[in-house]
Formats: sequence, C-alpha cells, structure tokens
Amino acid sequence: MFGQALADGILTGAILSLGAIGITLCLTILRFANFAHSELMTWGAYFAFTFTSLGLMGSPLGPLTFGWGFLLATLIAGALTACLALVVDRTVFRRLRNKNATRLTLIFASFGVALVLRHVVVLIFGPQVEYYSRELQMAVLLLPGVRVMPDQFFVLGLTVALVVLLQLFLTHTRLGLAMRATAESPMLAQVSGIEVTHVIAWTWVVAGLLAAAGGVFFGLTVQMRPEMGFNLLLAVFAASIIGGSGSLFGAVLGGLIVGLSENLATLVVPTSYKQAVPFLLLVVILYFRPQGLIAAKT
Amino acid sequence: MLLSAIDVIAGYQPDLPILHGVSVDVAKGEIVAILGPNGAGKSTLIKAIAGLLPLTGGRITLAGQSIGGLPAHRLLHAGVSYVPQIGNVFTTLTVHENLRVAAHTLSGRYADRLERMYALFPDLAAKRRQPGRQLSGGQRQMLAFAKALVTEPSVLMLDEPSAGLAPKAAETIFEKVRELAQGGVAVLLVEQNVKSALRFSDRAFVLAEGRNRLAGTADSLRADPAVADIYLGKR
Repeated sequence: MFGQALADGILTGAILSLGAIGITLCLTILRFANFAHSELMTWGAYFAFTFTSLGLMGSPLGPLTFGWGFLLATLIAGALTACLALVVDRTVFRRLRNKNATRLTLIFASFGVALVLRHVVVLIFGPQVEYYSRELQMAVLLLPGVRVMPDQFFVLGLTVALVVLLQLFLTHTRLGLAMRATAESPMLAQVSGIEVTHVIAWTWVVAGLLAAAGGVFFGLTVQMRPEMGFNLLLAVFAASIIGGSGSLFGAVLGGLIVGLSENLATLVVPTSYKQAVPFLLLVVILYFRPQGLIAAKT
Repeated sequence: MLLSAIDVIAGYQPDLPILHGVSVDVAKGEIVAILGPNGAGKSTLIKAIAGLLPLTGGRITLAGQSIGGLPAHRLLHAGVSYVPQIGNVFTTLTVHENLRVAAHTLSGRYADRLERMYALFPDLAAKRRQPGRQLSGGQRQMLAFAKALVTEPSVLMLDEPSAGLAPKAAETIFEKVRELAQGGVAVLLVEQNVKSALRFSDRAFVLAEGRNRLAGTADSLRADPAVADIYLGKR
C-alpha cells in the first residue's frame, strides 16, 4: 500500500511540477498570480485530444498505449497552447499592464480568463470524461505490491527531461538569462539592454508549453475533463508556493511534496479528503516558512 | 557636445513633473557632475536621459541625433550606458552571467570583451562563478561598472557611484572613471558629495527644485559661495 502510494505520488508530483513551474515563471517575471494557468493545462490536453480523436495516435510503441502520432499531437498541442497564452496576454493582461493595473486587478482578471477558458472547453468538447486511448495496459510489477503502468514511466521520464532542458535553457541561453534577469529586476534588465516585452512574450510561450505537457500527461495517465485544470489549480499553486516561488527546483520539489502527500494521505484519511491536503500543507508552510522551502535569495 | 539634454520636463507621473526644464550637456572625454540638495531632481534627470521615465517636454540628443523617448534597452545599443545607484547588479546571477547579460546587446562574439573586463577588474575575475549577492559593496560597484563598460559606451551615466562605499573603494571607482574619460568616454554622474565630485570632475551643473541653478567648471564652482547657499536652502 505504502509503496503504491509513493509511486503514484511521484507521478502526480511530476505532473504538478510542470504546472507549478509555469505559475512560478508568471509570479517572478510577470509579477502576478495567474489563476488561469491551470486552464492552459486543460487546453493543452484537449488540443492533443483533438488530434488523437482525428486519428493521430500512431500504433502503440512497445508496452505503451500510444505511438509516434500521439507524441506529434502533444508537440502541436504545446505550440497551440503557447499561442493561446500569447493571445490571452495580448487581449487581457498586456492591456492591463499598459494601464499600470495593480497586481490585484491582474489576479481578478486571471479568474475571469479562467472561467472563460474553462467554459469554452465545455462548449466545444462537452462535459463528459475523455481518454486518449481505451486500450488496456498491463501494469508492470515494480516491487511487491507496487504496480506502475508503462505510460506512467514514460510520463515521468519525459517530465524529468523537460525540467533538465528548462534548467539548461535558463542557464545557458541568451533568452534564459534575460528571463532570470527580468525576474530579479525589470528596471536593471532594461538598462542592461534587455527588451522586457520580448522576455514577457517568451515567458508565456515557455509556461504554455509546460502547461500543455502537464495537461497531456494528466490526460494520458488519469483522464480528461473540462474542469481538470480547475481541480489541479490549488495543488499547482500550493506546489509553487511551498517550493518557494522563485526557483525552478523549488517548483519541482513543491510538486513532488504535494503529489506525495496527497497520495500518502489516502493511507490514513478517506480518499475524498485528498484534495484538502495541499491546502493544509500550504497553510503549514506559510505559517512556519512563508518564503517557501527554497526561497530565492537576494 | 556629445550628449545634450535641453529643457527637459519629466517626472514619475506625467501630470506631476519633477524637472521643470533642466538642461545639461557633456562632451567626449569629459566628466560632468550633476549636483544639488536632496529632491533637486538629479536622479530623475539621469533616469529621464536613460529612457526610464517618459519625457513630457524637452529634447535629448546624442551626437546631434534625437534619443529622447527611446526605451532604455535601445539607448544601450545607441551607446548610452546607465548605472543605477542601488540594485545595479543581478544578485541571483553569477558575476559572469551579469557580464554576459550586458554583453548580449553586442552582435557577434564577446568572449574577449568579457576577458578585457576581468583584466580591468581582477577582483571580479576571481569571483566569476559566484552570485552577485556574495560580493562586497565595492565589488558590486565594480561589477555594475564592468557591466556598463562591456558594451563600450560613448556616454556613461553613473548615479552616485560612491554611495555607501568605504573611502578607499570610492577612490578606486573615481580613478577608473578618470581613466575612462581619458580614453574618450563622456561621463555624466550624479553625486551627493559635493567636495569629492568637484575634485575629480571637469564641469558641474547645480540643480535645485527641478531647475538649473548654477553651472561652470569644477574650479570656478569650488570657489563659488553660492554653491553652499543652494545646499543650505538660502537661494
């Protein structure tokens, strides 16, 4: 039981990390809490679903339920979600920024954006649960009592690869460096020759790509529903804040902590209370260590 | 004059100007100080020239070309480098990354320019892998300076470069500024410390309440009792 909860927790945690990184990027570079971020996860999942339901799934690769086609669909979904994030910024957030809107205004606007995004999904795809594949998958017995699906292995591996790639991007590329510089001080970034509007646009692209990956992975290993993003929102925010909003590894650590605690909690409390666990953790962390576990040092 | 600001009206809010038509200029190879009591608008002026504040009136030209209203990142490309008074290095980035960020505005390869900065500031070379937050006050100021120089600007603007530094560290900074000016860079700096500013600058402008009050060579201003009167609020 414990081993299974641990394995499930790590997988949930990995998916949450992908969302939490986006929240962290938004908090540090755009300087507001974007409550619409988890809706981008929903949109990413449904973008990919659009292509898979049109037949872009590919013949299953080994023990997995999907083929190359699905990976291609995921890539396209990532690009479309990044575009969606940019469109939302142009139509809502950028206008507010240009009017020097306060942080609170941006947060409330993001609630509005979240509602619109979520209900457009319901309008287009309907409220029912969807799956990418209905194929049965044989779980692999990892340890006695610990069963893991091959798809879950794949998702975990790809998430680790994405986080490593993002870290390399942030430390080794011009744009990554510009993003970190802007996160610390937009004014100093400007006088250091960085075009902040350019950095903001790329932040949406990166956040959108990762959100789409998280959404698709959730859809693949759990299920898709129009309110999946809304249901992930609290956990993703808790992960970002627990980890210490400001660092990539903080977001990953936060994701793992939230994922693990949600799943381990089911060993002692009824499953229906699972969603309250991140909330509880958030309160405890904010009480004892308000800067988060890995706080950005200045 | 290489850089001229003429009748500049600017402030943090468009309807609340802090500068009511201020003019300053600096020539190639010259060190010009902007002086004045607290609230005179010295920092506001330098920020307005750096493109960080909107201009409500006036003109700013660089070698005869208008640069007023250009965003800050474009000014760096044009050759105007600005070092803010505080928060002038990225504390979460390493020394090397700080220099790289600034060097990225250059086209082409810049590795040799970074090495030139390390040769100029050996203290930084030893700390190139350390984050900015681990530097001492003097080292931070050196890094801020190196960041501004890596783009080889024609105009260097410094906001109180000696603020908060030990006298020895401040002296080192001033020596470097002097060397740069001798190399042909136009230096415009805001200073709180009138004595040291007039000692090592060529000319100075004295502002009060957002207006020009006095201007002249450092030597003439040093002897002028009116400077002290402005600081004491008598004029």
